Amino acid sequence: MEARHEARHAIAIDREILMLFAEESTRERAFRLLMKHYQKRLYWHVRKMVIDHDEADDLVQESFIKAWKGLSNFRDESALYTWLYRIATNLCLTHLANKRKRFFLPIHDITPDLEAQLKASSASDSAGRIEYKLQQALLRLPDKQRLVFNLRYYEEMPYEEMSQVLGTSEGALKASYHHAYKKVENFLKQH
Amino acid sequence: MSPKAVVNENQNFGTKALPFEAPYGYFENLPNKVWAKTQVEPAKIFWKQPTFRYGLASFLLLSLAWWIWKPVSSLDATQEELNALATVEIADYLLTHSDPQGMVLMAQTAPVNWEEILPSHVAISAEDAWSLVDESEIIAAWEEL
Repeated sequence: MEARHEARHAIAIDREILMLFAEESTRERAFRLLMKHYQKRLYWHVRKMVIDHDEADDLVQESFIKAWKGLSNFRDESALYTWLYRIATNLCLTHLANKRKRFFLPIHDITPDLEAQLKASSASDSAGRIEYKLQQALLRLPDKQRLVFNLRYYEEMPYEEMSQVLGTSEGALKASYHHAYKKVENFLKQH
Repeated sequence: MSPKAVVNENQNFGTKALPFEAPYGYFENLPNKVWAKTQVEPAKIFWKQPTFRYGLASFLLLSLAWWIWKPVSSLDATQEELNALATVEIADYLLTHSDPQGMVLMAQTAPVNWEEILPSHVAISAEDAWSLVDESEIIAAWEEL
């Protein structure tokens, strides 16, 4: 019931943003509204992927700038937020892929780098806590599985919307989540 | 377990909290930061700019025009430059000629058609052309042969 209410509210907000965007004089208001409603969700989505705040900040800013510049071409076929997620997700995946390919060296495993960032970003007393261990487990997953896990576990995004964000079938997403879930479970049992 | 069953799986690992936080005041400042960036014109790539393109097109057109009209432009050269040019052409002609004396003699009886010998862009009359030729030098050269 609450989820349905939230979805309706999100649709109303999206409409308002697009309406305000259509008029030159209210465009800044549209932007403020867009940021107000989506900045936190997008930031945490990106932060969970790249861990480091500064990198997440850059990617979130880039995502909003890209979205803002492309808003005039936005088709009303999907929700604004799934479109924003798609932009941010693609930027995250590209960013992580570039990190692996740095200096033209063979594919570089960035898990230790991400773990180091996790350690640096977390409070000093958090090392033994479950949320820290859960992140450690997630950093061992392939990027796309981690994405699926984050969207499903933390954000409780329905598979239908995830499918729109990631451009993958619902069946494949369910399988991916299942694999990720099992790997995380095993890691937590062992550590 | 089939993937479908996962949907009903207990999705709780004990927490949904994250071990890291956003810096204090970050979300208050973010909209202003991003808005400022949306107002900045992207860095202009110089070769995509109309000024550069028009400049390049003008340069190419002018180069083409200069290349086509270059021979004509020598008509505007000073008389001194023209004489120097003519002298070179005449000397070249005479040196390749096997009988300079005959040439001179022939020229005396049936004047050389200098207009044919000299390139069309050398604006010089036959009279001026002969005035540039030192007949004695030609004859001396011929005698050495």
